[in-house]
Amino acid sequence: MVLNKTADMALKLLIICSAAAFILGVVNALTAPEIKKLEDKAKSKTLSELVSIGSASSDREITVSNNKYVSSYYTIDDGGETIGYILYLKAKGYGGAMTIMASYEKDGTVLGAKLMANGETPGFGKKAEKPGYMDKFIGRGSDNKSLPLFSYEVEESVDTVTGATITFMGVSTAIKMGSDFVKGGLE
Amino acid sequence: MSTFSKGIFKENPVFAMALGLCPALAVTSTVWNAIGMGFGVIFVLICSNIFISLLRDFIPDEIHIPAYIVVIASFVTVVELLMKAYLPSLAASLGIFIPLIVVNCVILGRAEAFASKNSPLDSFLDGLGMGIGFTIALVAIALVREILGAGSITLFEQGDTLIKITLGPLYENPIRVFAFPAGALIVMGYFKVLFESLMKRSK
Repeated sequence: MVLNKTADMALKLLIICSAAAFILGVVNALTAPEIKKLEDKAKSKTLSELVSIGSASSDREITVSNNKYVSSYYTIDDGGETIGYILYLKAKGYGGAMTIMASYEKDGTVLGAKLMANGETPGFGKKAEKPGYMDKFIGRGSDNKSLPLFSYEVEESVDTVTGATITFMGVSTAIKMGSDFVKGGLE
Repeated sequence: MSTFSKGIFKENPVFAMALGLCPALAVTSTVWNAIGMGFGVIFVLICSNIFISLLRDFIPDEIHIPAYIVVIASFVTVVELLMKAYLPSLAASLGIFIPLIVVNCVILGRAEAFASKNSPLDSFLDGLGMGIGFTIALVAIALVREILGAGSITLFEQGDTLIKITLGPLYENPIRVFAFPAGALIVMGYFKVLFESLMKRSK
């Protein structure tokens, strides 16, 4: 009798769960292509934003599997010659994983960076998405001009966000590791 | 009718029952965020109320909480997917607070206190009323916070379309504290006092 009751409950819960899973599957099938389209659009838009000289083509993505911070990269070409790289970086923020796209010269100097997907708190860490946020990294990263890792290392009067130290640390660490990755001959 | 209107006034989830305070404090930095959050909650609340009411004889008592959570979580995921596909900038600015609708106590509270004991139609009205009450509360808090804390009113934002009213001197020199959680609590407190006194007077 006891077993029957338990089995009955398990069965009913199973029915509810499968119905829910089915509905979600349908909704996901409808929305997934739309979301993918938006992501691709954002990606190729960022690619063109991060490159001022030369060009990077969005269909030539090279996957990196053995790096904690770099998940893939693109090369920036100018007249058949590679002049830099755009890295797809993984960072850890206050609200979980973040992705950053950053472009580098061959000596590791940051040309531009943009915070992509993230779960940062609106009003605080989320401000790192704003255009000016990444200015403090640009032009730094080569051997004689190091990247800031902590917010107090930023000498210029830039707009750091109070209460979003963890976001800054995540972003700066990922950008520095990306720079090291480029300097280390893409390894 | 009283099933519907009690959610807006007498049992307003935020101001009278102090339920769902986490999103009420967190996403009310702009009016558009509050509207978006409000409609998400209305949708989830209505759907979960109807479904839980329909299933109220089917779900065994011992496992009603997990069953409710599955139903609620499914609808929240539906909202999240739809928002990401069709309102991406709203989804981006609400961020983590969309999936957190699952644990918004307004929704589980209504499922437990109302939908599990009443007919689908009553549950629908209850969900609609509570949802609208929640949205009104959020928009009211957001309006005060955005005007004082940022000097603007954001009514719509999607891609290149941005409807935003800026209020001259306040936009130049906003009272920053209202943009922070502390400001949200202050505004919330004043609203609650106002609400209580209005309720008392109407009695």
